[in-house]
Amino acid sequence: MKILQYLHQVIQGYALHAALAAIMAIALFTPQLHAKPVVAFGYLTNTTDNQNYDYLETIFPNSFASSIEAIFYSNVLKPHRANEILKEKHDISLQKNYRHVELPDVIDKLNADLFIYGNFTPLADNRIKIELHLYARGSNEIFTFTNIGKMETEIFKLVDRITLIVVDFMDADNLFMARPIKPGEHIGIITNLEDHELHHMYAAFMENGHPVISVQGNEIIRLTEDRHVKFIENFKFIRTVDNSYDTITDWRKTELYYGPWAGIRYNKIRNKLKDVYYTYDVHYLDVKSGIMDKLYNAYGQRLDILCIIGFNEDRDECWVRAIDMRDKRLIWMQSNIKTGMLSANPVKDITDKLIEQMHKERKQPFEK
Amino acid sequence: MKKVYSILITGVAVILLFGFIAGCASKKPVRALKRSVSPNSQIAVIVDHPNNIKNVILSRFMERNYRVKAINASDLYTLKDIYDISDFKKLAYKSDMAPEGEGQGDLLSFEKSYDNLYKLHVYNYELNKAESIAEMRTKYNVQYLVLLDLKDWQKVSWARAIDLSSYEVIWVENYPAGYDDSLEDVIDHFITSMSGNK
Repeated sequence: MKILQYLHQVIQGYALHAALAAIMAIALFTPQLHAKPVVAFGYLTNTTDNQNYDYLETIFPNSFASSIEAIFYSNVLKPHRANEILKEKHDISLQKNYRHVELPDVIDKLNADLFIYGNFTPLADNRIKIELHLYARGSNEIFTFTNIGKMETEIFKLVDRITLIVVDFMDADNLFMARPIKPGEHIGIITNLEDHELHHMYAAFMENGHPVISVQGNEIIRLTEDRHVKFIENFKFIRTVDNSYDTITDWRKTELYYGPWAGIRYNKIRNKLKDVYYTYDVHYLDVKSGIMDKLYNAYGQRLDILCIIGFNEDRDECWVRAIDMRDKRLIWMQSNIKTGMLSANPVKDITDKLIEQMHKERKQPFEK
Repeated sequence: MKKVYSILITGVAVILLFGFIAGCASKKPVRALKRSVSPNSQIAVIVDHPNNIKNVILSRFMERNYRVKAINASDLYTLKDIYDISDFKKLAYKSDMAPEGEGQGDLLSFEKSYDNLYKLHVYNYELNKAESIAEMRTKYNVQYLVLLDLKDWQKVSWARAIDLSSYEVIWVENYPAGYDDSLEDVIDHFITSMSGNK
């Protein structure tokens, strides 16, 4: 009888979770009960000296704002309105460019939930490079992506192309896909799966036309995790050329005191500390790119894509980051990739989902 | 009341059954073979077991005409041998008692450097391994690296082969050993599978 009581409690626990989940779902699907999230837009700065393009600095963000507002249940602040708010309430103007460390302050002053700004560079052959930064209030995380494409004569086509990327990222699985990964491309995998579990993943890739390079595969014991540290979780944040998903740090708040009282030993430690910060944060991208170059060459330039795949403890959910090793760019990022609780083989099912997603061409609405 | 409990028990039984099935699924046999490793190939067998077991394993490969190079798992270093990264957990940094939101940037900067250090370390380690396996090919003329991990009965033993000319994983297999399997049987099974005769 006690067992039955216990089971009853356990079931009640599940039911409670289920009820909470249901309440959350109802809350999410009935947004009119909640305040609309505010999406603020900064300028898209023209990075060239050609003033003929300056008019796009506000036209672009205004168009993005209208496009986002049409899709998402949100209030948008266009650059003009954002500038007005900053002037009226704080006596400052909206800047054309912001350092990452300035974003928490700006978004607070605008009282917005999401702040989007960036820049553009017209290129030869009627192409344009657009770089956007997305910062969510309180997240201390910034997502940056770069899109190079045709400079459409009808601007709404270009706007839709970029809006699609923003909307994908704002969706539940935070998808970012710069390009599909095609069968035949050689994949190297760093993951927290080990031995026989890893084989379920390897076999799925091999059977779907992806040669698997022996990154991590050439050892008997998994080393992406030990009892002290979950290595893999650190890889969620990724900084690469052009595209990044990273945390914001403010070195101005780090104080390394110095004065006539400082002795030789103190200065030595202080300089070493500075070196550590410069290597592992300020110049991290350069240092990492150097290692990536060596890694690419060490594998005989055969390692096309490096996938970092982190699974949860139950192996029924994962996230992925993929780097194109030829140009060191982040090309694929996705979170919350799940399998149903009834899945008989979650690792295989999730890997199949990953493979399906990586092959998928994200069709731009107006491209032929 | 009885009905409620019977429903509950059925529910729990279903959940446990699916849990059991999911648990079993990861123990299912898996095999993917891209290219077979034919006899007469020069191989290095990496296995982490006592010498008497190792000898049995190597002898099975030799009997099937594989040219086994004298390379051991113990000849290779691991991440922990070169650098015990977990020691960095002993690092301490000072955070003042600033109100929430102020002074936190200090801590974040330290944490980020600390996380990046781990990431670079993993990349560097992968680089070192790639160079090591390249050396196996160029210095010792090894064509294929065979990794084996043998487990007790009913657990999953696994093996994989890497073609050192392309750094590609060309064969993987999970084999749940049965009660009637001896060590020799398991190794023979892997060799047959790897050579493409299965």
